[in-house]
Amino acid sequence: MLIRTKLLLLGLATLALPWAGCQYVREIEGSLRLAESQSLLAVARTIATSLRGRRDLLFRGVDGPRSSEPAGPYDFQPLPLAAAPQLEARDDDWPSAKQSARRFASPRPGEQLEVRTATFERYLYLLVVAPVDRLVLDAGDGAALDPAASGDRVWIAYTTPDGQRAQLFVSAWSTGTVRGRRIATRELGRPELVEEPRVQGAWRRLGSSDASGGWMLELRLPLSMLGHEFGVLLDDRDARGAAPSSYGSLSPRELLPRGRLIAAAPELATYLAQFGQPGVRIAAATSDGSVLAETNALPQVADGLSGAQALLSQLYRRLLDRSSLAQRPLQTERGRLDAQQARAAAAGQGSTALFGAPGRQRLVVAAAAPVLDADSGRVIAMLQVAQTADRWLLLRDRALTRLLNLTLLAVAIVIGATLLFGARLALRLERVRRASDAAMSRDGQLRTDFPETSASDELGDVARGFSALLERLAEYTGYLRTLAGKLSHEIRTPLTIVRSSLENLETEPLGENARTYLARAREGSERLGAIVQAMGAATRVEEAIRSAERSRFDLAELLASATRAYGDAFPARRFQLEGADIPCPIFGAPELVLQMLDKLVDNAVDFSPPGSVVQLRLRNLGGPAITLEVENGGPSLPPDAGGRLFESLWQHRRGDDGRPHFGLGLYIVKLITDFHAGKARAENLAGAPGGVRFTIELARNLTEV
Amino acid sequence: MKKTIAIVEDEPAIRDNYAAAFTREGHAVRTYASRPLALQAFATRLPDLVVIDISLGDEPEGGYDLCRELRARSAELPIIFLTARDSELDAVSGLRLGADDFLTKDLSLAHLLARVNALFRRVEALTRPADGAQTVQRGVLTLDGERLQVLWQGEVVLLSLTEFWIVHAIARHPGHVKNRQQLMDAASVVLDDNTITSHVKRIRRKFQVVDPAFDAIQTVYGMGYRWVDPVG
Repeated sequence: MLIRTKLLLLGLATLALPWAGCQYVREIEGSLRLAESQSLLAVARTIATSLRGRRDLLFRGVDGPRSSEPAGPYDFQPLPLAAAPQLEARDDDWPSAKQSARRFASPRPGEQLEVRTATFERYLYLLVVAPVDRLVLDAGDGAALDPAASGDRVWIAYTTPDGQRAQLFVSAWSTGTVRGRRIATRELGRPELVEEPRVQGAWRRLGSSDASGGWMLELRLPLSMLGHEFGVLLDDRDARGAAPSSYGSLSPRELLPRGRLIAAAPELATYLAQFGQPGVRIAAATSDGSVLAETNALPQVADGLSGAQALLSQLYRRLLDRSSLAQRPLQTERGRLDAQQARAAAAGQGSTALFGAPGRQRLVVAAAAPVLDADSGRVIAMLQVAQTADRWLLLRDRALTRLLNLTLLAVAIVIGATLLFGARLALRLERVRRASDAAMSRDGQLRTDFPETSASDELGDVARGFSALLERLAEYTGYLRTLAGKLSHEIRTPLTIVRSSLENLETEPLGENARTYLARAREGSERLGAIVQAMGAATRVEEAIRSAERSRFDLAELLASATRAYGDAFPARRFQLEGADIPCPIFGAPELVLQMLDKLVDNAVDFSPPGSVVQLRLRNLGGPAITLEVENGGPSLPPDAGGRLFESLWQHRRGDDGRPHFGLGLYIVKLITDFHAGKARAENLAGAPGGVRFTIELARNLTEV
Repeated sequence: MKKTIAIVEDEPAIRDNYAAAFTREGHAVRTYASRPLALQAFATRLPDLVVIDISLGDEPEGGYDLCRELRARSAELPIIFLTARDSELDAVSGLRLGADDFLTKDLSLAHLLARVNALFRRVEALTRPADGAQTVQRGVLTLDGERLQVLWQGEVVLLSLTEFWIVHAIARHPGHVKNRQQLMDAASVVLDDNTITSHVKRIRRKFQVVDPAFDAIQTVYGMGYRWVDPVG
């Protein structure tokens, strides 16, 4: 992995910073929430305590302990409505929640009566649905008291707020608007129909004909006329005047209510309102969680952050805090407190919980407390106080946004700095690497100038180490390069001693055997002399190059002349020269060029079989360089020899021709080529006979280079 | 009369070998290991010929200094430099210290003796009037084989003994190419190609001191050198 990537990963680790910040903000928010919840719970408890034992303030009518009992099958719990329904006998403006519905089975199987109750402001609304029953109308308005003329009839019995029993009925004499009527007893016990104008409603057939589909009745009664007992009964007739089949929540004979109307006392809403504050919802509910009354001042529109900031905080919240989005709504069922809170309150426990307001990015915190009976300590009702949590949310979002902005900025700076540092480090490493790659050139020269050696850090140490190593290596190779020359010089003095001694010895009278040994010793010292000469060859060429004088001369003439000489010197090879017909004047050192040619031809002769052709070629193509080629038909070069061939002391000769070889010949070629600002290379010849070609490029005009 | 040869050489074995060879030839030999010892001896009496090693003990160039001091005292004293290094040959030659010859120690004793004898002959010839018996005249070139002198356009060209023999070999047969081996044989030296080349170069330069237009020695690449008589 690249250092840059590693450092980038390291930089990414700073992302832990905003994470830690978020955790901190969350913790702060949590404790704030807790404090707020506790204070809200305290408010709820205070209000609940103020209602302790106050059944009269909680419930409609007072009938002793029964009023606070859980709702039975005949008890009606009207649903508080947000808007008044139109009296059209349609259920589409009723809430779909059916928990306020009571169903009463008909004696005939498969048929049932459904009665739904609701309250809005001062009215109780009643929706009576008989889905499968057939609507049988009264014969006429005047015949309402005549049993033979009676059709379907809905009875309502209740106690008045002051405890009087009362009944009224709604008869189906036609569809459309209906009114309630009651039967009053006149003098002589004669019954008389009295209009009850406070009870209004509408009756509608559901099916397409009288015979099927049932019907729906919607009624409105002022709550002020109702006490705590309430019931509904249907007199269902199959035909006008037939004996009714009566069912509902009244006793069929006496028409007395069997159940209660569980609704708030009229003063309850007012009582709760005095605790109301903006942004707070207070709800009182029965002990099973049905809302009796509420004052709702929860804001309907969020007034939180605006614009880009809001967008940003939304994003952060989405990324970091999914919990506030996943809350359940405050009211899952209309007219009911949250089931968990209701259970806790019913058990006498206060509780707090967090809710999400539906469709909005906001939270509501709610505290619920039980209202206890004064004497028995039973739970008679419960109270819930809810408040939007926007204040903390706003606070938290601001803190989060600021925190995240700051830490992200810091992270960006850290990552940027890390990247910059990494890039610089990588660059420096790359420079060192490249320098170490290039430290030894193809021709074996060492470069000791090394980058980064002035840096004070570890990389500088490495570079300095490298540099020192290279310097030592350069000294060493330099020593090796001059070793042959030095050795040849050092050997020369003892060799002179040996030679001069031998020569003196020759003048002495010696025996036959001694002469033989002397001749051998002479021969040995001659060979030693040749070796010393060969060893010093490169040094001498270097010295010759130092003192070389350049002049203008004709390379073509030199080649032609030299090729003739080679023909004499090496009769076992044939020498061919190409391209030397035209004069080729160049500026250089002719003696050195000749010496270079000698070495190349020596090499070619050494490696080619007797009788073969050594091809010399001059290419003068008019460019700044002139190319000289020497080809021989000898064996190919080893594949790895290309770069090292011209190095000092490198050789790959096989066999022994009796002459000392130190791998200096081609090194001398290179020295002379360098002096002429040229290049030397060797390559194997393609094709069947094979062979090797040495190519020398010489600058035409050395002064120009 | 016995000639006295002084050998100034710090290597005792070489010194003694040379001394033995010269003694065998009938010369009187005195040997010195260092420059101060030699100078001390030369203060009272100069030898007839001096062979000096360039590096003397702890004086790497003591030979040069000794040569300079001797030349200051006598213009005619033959001086032969011996060196272990080829490079010194070039350097010394360039110094124009007035030595009569510069030789490497590879030289065989026989060759060294030949040189010594030649120098003695020259000294003798210089003291006699020229008889022209061994003189070769070729145009403006005069080769005096007795005095080992070369004259170009009547002026003396100051050549060392080796250089004289090289010129002698080339110029005796104009137009003939003399290869390196022939030149080495003529000069009684064993030299490598570079040294021959630098000898020839130096010879040309010395002639050019007398005549800047000198171009009589031609290089035949790969073969050797030849003398071309100047036209007119």
